[in-house]
Amino acid sequence: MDDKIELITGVNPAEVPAVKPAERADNIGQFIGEAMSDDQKINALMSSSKPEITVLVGFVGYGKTSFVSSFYQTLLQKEDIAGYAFYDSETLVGLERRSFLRRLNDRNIEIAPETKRTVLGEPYLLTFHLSHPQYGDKLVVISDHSGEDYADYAAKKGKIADDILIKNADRIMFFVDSEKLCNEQRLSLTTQYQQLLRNMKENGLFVRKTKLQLVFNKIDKVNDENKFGKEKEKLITNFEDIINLKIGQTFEIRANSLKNNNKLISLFEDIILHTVEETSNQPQASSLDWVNEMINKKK
Amino acid sequence: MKCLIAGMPSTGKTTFIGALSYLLSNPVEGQALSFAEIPADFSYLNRLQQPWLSIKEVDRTQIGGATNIELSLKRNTDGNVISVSLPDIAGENFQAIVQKQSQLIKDWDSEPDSLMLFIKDLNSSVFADQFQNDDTIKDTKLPSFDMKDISNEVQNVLILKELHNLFPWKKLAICFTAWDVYQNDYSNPREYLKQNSRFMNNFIKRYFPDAKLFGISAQGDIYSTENVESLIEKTENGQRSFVVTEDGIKSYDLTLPLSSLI
Repeated sequence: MDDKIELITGVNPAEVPAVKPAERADNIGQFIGEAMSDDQKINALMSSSKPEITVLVGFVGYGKTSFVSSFYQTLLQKEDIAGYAFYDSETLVGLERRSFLRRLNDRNIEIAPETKRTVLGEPYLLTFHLSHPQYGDKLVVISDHSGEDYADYAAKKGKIADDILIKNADRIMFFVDSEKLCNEQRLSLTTQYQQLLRNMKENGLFVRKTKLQLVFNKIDKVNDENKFGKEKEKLITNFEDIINLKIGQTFEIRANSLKNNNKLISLFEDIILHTVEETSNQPQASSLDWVNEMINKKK
Repeated sequence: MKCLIAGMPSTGKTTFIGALSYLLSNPVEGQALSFAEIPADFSYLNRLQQPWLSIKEVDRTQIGGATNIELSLKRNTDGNVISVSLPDIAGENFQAIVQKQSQLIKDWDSEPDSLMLFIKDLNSSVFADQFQNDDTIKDTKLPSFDMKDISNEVQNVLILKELHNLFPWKKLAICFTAWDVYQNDYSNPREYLKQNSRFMNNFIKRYFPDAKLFGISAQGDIYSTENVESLIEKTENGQRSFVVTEDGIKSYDLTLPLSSLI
């Protein structure tokens, strides 16, 4: 409860990830509408509708940026998703940057793969304002930290405690590179996740009723389905043993393509419709205003 | 009335002003606005009007300066005289807003009560799926993210947002230019917007529900050596520049977007 109040009132400002200048893209911050790097700024967005926070967790190259880029492209192109139309974002340039990175990946540019991604400490909060003709407005917030940030969270015990947004996430999606899960890199993958999950647990990040989901990305690159099935089950058990909670749902997707990709679209619909379960189809505005409720309780 | 004419580079703002200045002196039948008084100094307008009359491209507006054009116009329905102020500002200055660099516009000492946003095309962001996989670029360095990597629809939305923050104008007209190119594919400008940028259509419906949409062709056609004479003839007959309203009605009255803001 106090964490949420801190998020709202800014009692305990989040530390902006330390970034060496050389590791940052050369022109981040030169445009209006960049992604946000300060969790506190989300406060400013909360006045009109309750934000629904989805945090994408995963290491370098697991496909978080491709996923969020495909989500953005789908919202841009479709009249609506599950009846919700996309009409605004404070972070349009942040979203365009991610589309740019996805395009580079798909054009086989011969540069080191680890450079074609969201970089360490890059602004990561992305907003989507959606509107439904019957149910009104919805603010979806997606946290797309760089894989290096999560490597940092895994390697340094207390580091993740600074991430206020994870503490307040409605949904955490753990991305897994399915190709790596089936090849010689699987031990590296599972060990790094074990470190991260332990740090998350030790910092009390699994106490809320957050939806925990595993997203097996790059499913098209899996050659041996039996092996994948076994490794998938082992990983789920591993996760559940560490966090002492059940993983709610798992998804098998390819995040970098929208062609004939109904599974991906269904997942997008799920994010929009079911990140926060409503008790009725048409929630009252007052019950959504948890920002003010929390502030008032604090007073 | 102060009206800011905004738009990205090469969207036809200056061509529009050149054509408008001619039609205000030589109104077509039923035209909404005409000159109440010819400006004392017509030299700047002549510079814009002459190439239009000669079926030539107008020189690009110089970056870095804002030329205020003051017009005294008569509304032909009731004879009322209206002062209209139109600044001619280069598109690069508007585009620079997105890069937090357009001091010229931020410092512009005026309070427009309306905005005409000119848009030439709305290419949506390109799906990665549409790239060919064999399109390999032999490069070892990450290309820098630049303005050209931001889709037109998003640049225009960002310009609208920022201009409204700077100058909270009350009325908005969105003019899709080069309509001669689009007229066979789209029955009206709303249809064009919906089909080319659902997001921008949602954005405008949400924040500017009373915005007027127009398709505009100030040139009348794509210039070529073959159609010079026919365009001159059309100019003489008042049937060259045209406007298409949201209802799909075509009119040769180029003052319609401006009069919709009064």
